[in-house]
Amino acid sequence: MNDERSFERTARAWLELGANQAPDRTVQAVLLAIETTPQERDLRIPWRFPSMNGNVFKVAAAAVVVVFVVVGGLAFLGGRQGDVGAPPTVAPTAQPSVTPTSSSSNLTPGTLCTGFCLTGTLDPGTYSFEAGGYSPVALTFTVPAGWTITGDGFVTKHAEGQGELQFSTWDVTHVFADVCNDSVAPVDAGTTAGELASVLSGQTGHTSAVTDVTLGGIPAKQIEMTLQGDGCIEPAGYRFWPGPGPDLNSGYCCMADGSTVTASAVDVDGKRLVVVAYHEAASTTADQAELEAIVDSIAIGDTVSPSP
Amino acid sequence: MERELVEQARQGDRDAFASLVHQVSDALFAVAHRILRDTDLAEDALQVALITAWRELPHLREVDRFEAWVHRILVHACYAEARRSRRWTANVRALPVDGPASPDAHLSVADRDELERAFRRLPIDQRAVFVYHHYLGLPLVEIAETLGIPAGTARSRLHYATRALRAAIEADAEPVLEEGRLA
Repeated sequence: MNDERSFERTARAWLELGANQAPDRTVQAVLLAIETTPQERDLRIPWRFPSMNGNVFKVAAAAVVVVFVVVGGLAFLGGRQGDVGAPPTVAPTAQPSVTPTSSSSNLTPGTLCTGFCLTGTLDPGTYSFEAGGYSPVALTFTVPAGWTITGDGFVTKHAEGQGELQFSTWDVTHVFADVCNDSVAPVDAGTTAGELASVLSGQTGHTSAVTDVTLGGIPAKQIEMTLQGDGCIEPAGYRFWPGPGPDLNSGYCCMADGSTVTASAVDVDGKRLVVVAYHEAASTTADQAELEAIVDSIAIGDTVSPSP
Repeated sequence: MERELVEQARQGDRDAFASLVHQVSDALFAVAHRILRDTDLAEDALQVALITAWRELPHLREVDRFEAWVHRILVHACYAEARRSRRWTANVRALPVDGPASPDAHLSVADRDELERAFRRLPIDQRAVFVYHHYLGLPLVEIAETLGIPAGTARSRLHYATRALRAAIEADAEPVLEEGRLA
């Protein structure tokens, strides 16, 4: 296994192993379920992907059908379901509700990321990340319409087209000295906002400028970095920093040529929060203003403010 | 995939949807099985995905994209199954072989075992991209579109998954992968 093609052949051969036919019992269970499951048309009933235990799934599926029938009936009668129509307020333990759309989920204001992040289209409003996982400190931020969040904790717009923009939070312990070369061991990024600004501005592969700003009302260092040249690492592209540790199997990477990464670092109770605003060269001025407004809306700490 | 069938199912025709189920269930199950590495979990993910697809079908605006749409639902169902079950982190047994019977020259028993162990340690989202790329042969742009993620994210997940699996084969003592992130 000493070249890429050999690995790909091996991986494909390995993936060929395994089941290729859906068990009849599973297909029959689905067909049976849809006989009594109504389609969602105008009911707009919030739902989630089930998280129930697999051992009880088959039994619970019947209960789900009953619930949908009952809830659907109530909706037809003009009834409202418990907290389904609750006003969109944000609380530390609030969970966004999910409503059906054509192909993705709509999320309403609440906590988006704990150990992992929910995915879906964000309704306008204020959302929060809990400390841990993708953000070293808890924070809230407000988004306008048109933004989505990925399971990796990227709040993004135009993710599938030109001019993508992103907002994300990071715990950065090391950075690569050259954003075009991750084969050299990353350097220590210190522990303070000032130290991070120093090592990022010393990175090669981008032009940078450091300014003093405030983030969430706290003094911060902002490093604006614009990428130069052609994509430099295949297949992943530019690479700014690895995961904390460093963990070389994760990190911040893969930006488009000519894009701008604005990292704002702030020291909060002995932890350093890094907020990244990313936009491509093709991003419109209006979209950039939206991204800037999202960053400006950040409130740091465990107390979350109510959504507008 | 017959557009007419999708349109009929979208209008509430259960027989049409049943036909769609018969058309897509094997492919969906094969993908779920390879992502989750567990038959029971894959069955549950398939059930959830297909029932969800039936419920949501009226909201599908682009009928021609039914197959990609249902794959996206399946992957989300796989994520949910993986979250509720951590069996894969400890379970490193090899899957029963139900595919080609003849041994592949590119796949030794040792490679298979190492791939199996390393793959089970990958984050579920990296597994999904790896399976869609190497099993279904989809290009990254199409994977990104199917999964509803930025192309860079798909690229990053594939990169980290590939790196981990290569390392697992090349050296047994590779560290456990954590979440891959990208811009």
